[in-house]
Amino acid sequence: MNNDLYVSVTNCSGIFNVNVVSSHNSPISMATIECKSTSLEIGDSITIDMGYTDSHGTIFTGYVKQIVRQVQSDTYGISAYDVMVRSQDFFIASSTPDSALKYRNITAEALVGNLLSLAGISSYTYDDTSFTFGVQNEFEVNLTAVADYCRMVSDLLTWHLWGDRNGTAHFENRKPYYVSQTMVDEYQQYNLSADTSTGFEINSRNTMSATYSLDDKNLRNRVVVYGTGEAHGEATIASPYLPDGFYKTALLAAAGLLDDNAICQKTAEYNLNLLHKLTKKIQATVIGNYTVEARSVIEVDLPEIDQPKPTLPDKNLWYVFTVEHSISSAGYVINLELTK
Amino acid sequence: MGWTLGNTRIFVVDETIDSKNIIARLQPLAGGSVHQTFGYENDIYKVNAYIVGSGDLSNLKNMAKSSSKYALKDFDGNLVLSGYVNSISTKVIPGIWQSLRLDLPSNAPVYVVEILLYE
Repeated sequence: MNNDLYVSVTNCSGIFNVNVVSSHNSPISMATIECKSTSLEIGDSITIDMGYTDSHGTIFTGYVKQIVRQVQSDTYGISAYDVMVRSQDFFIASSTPDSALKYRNITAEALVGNLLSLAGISSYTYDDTSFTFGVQNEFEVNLTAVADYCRMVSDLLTWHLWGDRNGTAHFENRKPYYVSQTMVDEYQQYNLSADTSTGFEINSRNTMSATYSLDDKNLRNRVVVYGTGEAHGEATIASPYLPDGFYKTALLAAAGLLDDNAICQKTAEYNLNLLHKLTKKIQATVIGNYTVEARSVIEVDLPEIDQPKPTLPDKNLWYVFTVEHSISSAGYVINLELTK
Repeated sequence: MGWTLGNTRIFVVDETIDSKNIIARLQPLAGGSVHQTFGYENDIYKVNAYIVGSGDLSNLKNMAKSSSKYALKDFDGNLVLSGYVNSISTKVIPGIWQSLRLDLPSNAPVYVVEILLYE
């Protein structure tokens, strides 16, 4: 791989810098471009291809949402979001209060797919969830953005919804950290599989800076779920990180969607699996590589990180929680937030 | 003939040309540097010259306020470059008599100017 930088953006020339951010925190990826000239208009489709002249690829596909003209520097600033922005922009509001969308006995993946199609997102792939909503009573979906409602469904199941680089929406059992085979065997969740590495490694030869942190801010060892009427569920576990008999509680309320104890209990157990762990995080700045995507798993071989180095087969694998690709005259770097 | 910038007569003493590559220099933890090339800058010309008369000085100063490109031509009238005048730095030469420009009064002021041109 040579080190001649390459960047190409639809209908833009004289590019000064490009930033593309993709994170597990948001289903929507965002790109900002600064350039000398452009013929883009609001709503235009845009593709960003970047890397090196002998190794580059598409890292973003989306739509232009904002164009700023800087008169003093004679440049344009363009902001674009991926296809999932349509789910944020589409607000579900029935014409009359009595004609709201209603569903009954629908799987979570079908519900999400249905709502995404309302927002014009038709390229959709999903994992079967084994969750069915509105078994006993129909429920309404109204006065909410599609993104917000789908986010609520994803959070209930600890599933994840996002748009990929090619404009396809994914609704999958994707946890916000590296999933080992041990976790898969312990959690016993539908469609949960162990992560494998992409083969990309960050090490002292390609990393400019790195920090490692550990905290219990998001740790919960008790999850309570309230459903429709008296339906409820609860899951607890004694935590080695908390005093004996002490429980940090998370509450989920989903009246309408969860209408029996069995589904409430499954929801509580799924969320306890997700929340009962410390947050281990690495933040690193690495020499740019366009193949690194959010929601993938990469290898980390840095000194002083997670020592002693484990000898297990899945040693030092970390989940890419956030990646920011940044290219300019200061170089091409990727800023990573990794979780485990 | 003689050197001109725009149509203003200048007496070039020396000319410097700066060419620059845009190279990012990244420092990995293991040491050494990784260089990434992002393109190149257009040349920057620095011309030190004499000019005679306040009229020519005024012409040059107006070029530094203009968004137009101006032609720098050499002694034989060949085009050296067409560029933007980024800056002009002027120093008055104390003197009694000038013979550089015989078409101007002998007591016309003489200036040394440093002109920065962007290609």
